[in-house]
Amino acid sequence: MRLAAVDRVAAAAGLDPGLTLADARARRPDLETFPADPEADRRTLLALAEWAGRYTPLVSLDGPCGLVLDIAGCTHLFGGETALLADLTGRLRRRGLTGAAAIADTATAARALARTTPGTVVPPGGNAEAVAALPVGALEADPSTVATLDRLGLKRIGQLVGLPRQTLAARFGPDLLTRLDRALARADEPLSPLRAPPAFLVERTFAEPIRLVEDIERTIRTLAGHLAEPLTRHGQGARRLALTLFRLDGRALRIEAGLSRPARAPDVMASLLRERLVTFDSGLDTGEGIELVRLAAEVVEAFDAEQVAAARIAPDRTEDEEALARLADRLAARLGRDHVVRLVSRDSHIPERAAAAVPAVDGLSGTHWPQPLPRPGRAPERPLRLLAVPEPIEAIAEVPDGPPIRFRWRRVLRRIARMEGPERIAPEWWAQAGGGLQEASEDAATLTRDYFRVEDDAGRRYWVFRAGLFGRETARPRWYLHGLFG
Amino acid sequence: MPDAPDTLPDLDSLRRRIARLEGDGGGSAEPDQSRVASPVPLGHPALDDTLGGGLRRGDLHEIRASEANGALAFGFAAALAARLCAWPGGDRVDVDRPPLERTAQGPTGRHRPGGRWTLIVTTFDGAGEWGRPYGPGLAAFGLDPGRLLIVETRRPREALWAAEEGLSSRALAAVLAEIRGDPAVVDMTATRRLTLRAARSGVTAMLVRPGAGAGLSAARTRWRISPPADLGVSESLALPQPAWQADLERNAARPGGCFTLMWKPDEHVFTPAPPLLTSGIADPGTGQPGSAWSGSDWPGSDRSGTAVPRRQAAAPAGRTAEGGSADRPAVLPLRRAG
Repeated sequence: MRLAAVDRVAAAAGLDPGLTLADARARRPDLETFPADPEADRRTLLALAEWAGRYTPLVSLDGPCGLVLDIAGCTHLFGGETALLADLTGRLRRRGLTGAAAIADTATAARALARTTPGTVVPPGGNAEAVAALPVGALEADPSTVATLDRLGLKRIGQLVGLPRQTLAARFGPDLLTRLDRALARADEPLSPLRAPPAFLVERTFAEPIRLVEDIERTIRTLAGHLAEPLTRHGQGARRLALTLFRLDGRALRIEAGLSRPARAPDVMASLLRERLVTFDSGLDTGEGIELVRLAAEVVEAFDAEQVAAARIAPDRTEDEEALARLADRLAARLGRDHVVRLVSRDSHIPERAAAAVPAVDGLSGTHWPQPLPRPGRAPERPLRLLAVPEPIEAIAEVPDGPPIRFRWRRVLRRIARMEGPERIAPEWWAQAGGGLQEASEDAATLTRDYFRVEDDAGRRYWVFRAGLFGRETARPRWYLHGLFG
Repeated sequence: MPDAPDTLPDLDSLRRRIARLEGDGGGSAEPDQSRVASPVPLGHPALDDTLGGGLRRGDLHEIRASEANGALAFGFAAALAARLCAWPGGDRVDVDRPPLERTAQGPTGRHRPGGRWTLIVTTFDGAGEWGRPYGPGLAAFGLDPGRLLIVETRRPREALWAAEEGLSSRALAAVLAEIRGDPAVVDMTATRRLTLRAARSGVTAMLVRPGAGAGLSAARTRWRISPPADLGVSESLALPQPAWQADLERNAARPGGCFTLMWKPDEHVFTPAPPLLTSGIADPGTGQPGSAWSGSDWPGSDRSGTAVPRRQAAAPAGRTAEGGSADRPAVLPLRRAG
C-alpha cells in the first residue's frame, strides 16, 4: 500500500505521495491514514465544479484533482480578476477546503502557477514573463523528459524559450513543445467544459440568503420573466431549462426541465420548474440558505417563424398542440423524462424492435404509423401489451413442430381452445445485438420464432412463440409468452 | 387566447358558471345540459339504450376486472378510447365552443389528421404484470399509436396525479389510467376529483382497475369485465374479433345490465357478440372467418334482446360445457360448435 495523497502537515514532515505505507509509518509512527476513495474524490470534484459554475458556465475538470474555469468576460461581475480569485479561495477556505488557484492567459500557465505560486494573477499578455521562472516540471510533461532536461541543465521554463523549436521537437517529441506553447500563450488550448455553455442565462444574488421554498418559487417566476426577454429578442424558445441553486455552504443544486416544444412564456417556464421542485421527496434541502439562483436556457430553438404563423392560421389546432406539449412537459418534469413517452414505428419485423418508446420531451410531432391497420373481421395480429422480456413457458404440442395444446405460464396451466398460427418470424441476422430475448435465453435471439395467437378455455388470449425450428435449429424448441391480447 | 373574444361574459355563460359551481359543490346536481356534449353511441343498441344514448364524455368510467382479466379490462378501455377518437367530434367536447370538425367527418371516421391524443397511464407494477402498451397491437386494435402519450409511474398516487393532469388539459380526447389492485389512495375522494376534472375539461376518463374489490367510487359508470362467456371449445381454430362480457354494475341513476360485446377495430364500433363465435366455416389454413359473423348483421341476431337483468354475482358464470343457456337465455342462443 502506498500513500495516495498527503495533507500540508504530512508534506512538511517529508512524506510524499507514492511512498509505501510501511516506510511512511516508520518515519512518522503517529501518521493518520484513511483508505483512498477515488470515486468519492471524483464526486466531490464534480460537486465542486457545479459550485464553480457561479463564476462561469465554462468549468472543466483538470485531472483527478483540479478545475479549470474559463472566466473570460465574467470577471467584471466580481470586481476584477484579483477580487474573483480572492472570493473563490475565500469561499473554498470557509468550506474547509485547501485550494490553490491562479489566473493566467491559458489553462496550462494557470495550472503551473497554481501548483507553484498560488494566488498569482497574471495580467493579460504577461504569460511568458510569469512562467519563465517556473521549474520545467511545472509543464507536467513526461517525467523522463523532465529528468533529461534537468540533466542538460534546463531547469527553468524560461531556458527553453530561446531553444530552436526543431531541436526540441526532435529531441523530446511534439508534446513538450505543445505544452510550452500553451504555457507561453503562443497556442490555443482547447478545454472541454462539463456542460455546454447555455444560450441564455439570468441570475439573482441574495445578500440575505433565502431558505423558504416560496421565496425560491417567487425568484423562479422573476427570473423566468427576465429570461423571456432575451429569448423574445432573439426569436428563440427554450427546449431545456436548468435552474441552479447555489447554497451558502458551497453546494449547488441543479434542476433540469425539458420542453417538447420551444417555449418562452414566463408562466410556462416557471410552472415547469416548480413541478420539478416538488419531486424532491423529503422537501428541498436549502441548507443554510441559498445565495444565488441562476436560470439558464441551455438548449434553445427558433420560436417565432413556425409557431407564431401556425397560431394565426389554425388557432384551435395550435392551442391543442401547445396544451399537449405543456402536459407532456409537466408529466415528464415530475415523473422523469424516460417515463413519459410516445411510440414510434421502427422498420423491423422483430416484434420487440417494431416499436420504440421515445421520451415525449424530445418532441411530439412527426409520428406516423403505417396503414392499413386493423384487419376487417379478424382478430388483431399483434397483442395490446408486450412483455418487456418474453417469459419462458412450458408448452405441450402434439408434434415438436406443431401448435401448442396447452401451456403453463406463471404456474397456471392453460388449455388452448382456439389458435391462429404459426406466423414465422426469422431473426435479423444483420442485427443480432439488442432485444429483450438475450436476457431470457442466450440462443433464442438467433433462432427463428413461430408465433401463435392462442385463446385459452377461459377466453383469454396470449401471444406465444416457439424459438427454433425443430430438427434444423434445435432439438428441443423452447416456448415463450410474449404478449397479451385485450 | 381565442377562447375569449369578448371581454364581457354574457348572461348565459354566467348561468353556466353558476350551474357548474353548484354541480361541483352539490355532488348530486346534474351539470347544465347545455355544456354537456352528446354521448357517443357505442354501436350496441341495447347497451346504448341502457347508457342513455351512449358513453358520456367528460366523465369518469371505471372498468374493473379480476387480476387474471387485467389485459381484457385494458383492452375494453382501449376500445372505448378508440371509439371516442373515431367518432366525429368524439375527441372533443363543446365546453365553450363548438367543434370545428364535426361536419367534415363521416359516421365512422378513421383517424383524422387533427384528432386529439389519448393519455395512457400505467404503473411499473402493471407493466410487469401485463406488459407495456404495444404500438402495433394498439394499431391493430383501432387506436392510433402515433397519438398516444404513455406514462408509467412508480406508485398509484403518481398515476392518479398524472391522470388528473391529463384531465385538466383540453388537448386530450381521453385519459386511460390503469391502477392495479386496491390501493388506499384510489378512494371516493380521488375518483371524485377525477370526475370533477373530467367535467371541467370535457376529457373522458377511463379508470382501469384490475384486481380491485368492491370499493366505492364516484365514477358515472362502473363495469366489470370478463372473457365473453359461452364461447365453448372449438374445432375450428380461428380467432374471432375481441369480445368481452361487460357487466354494467353502476350506471348513474339508471339500471345496469350485462352485455356481451364484440369490438370491430376496423370499423371502430362495438356490436353484440354473434351467437356463434366459433364458426365452423372458418378456413383453418388462412384463419379467414366465415361470412356468418364477419359482418354486423349476422343471421339470427336478436339485437333488442341482448340486455339481460343484472346478475348478482360479478364472476362470469356459465363457462361450462352446458354453455350459459340457463344463465342468460336471452343473450346468446349459443351451442358449442361441433
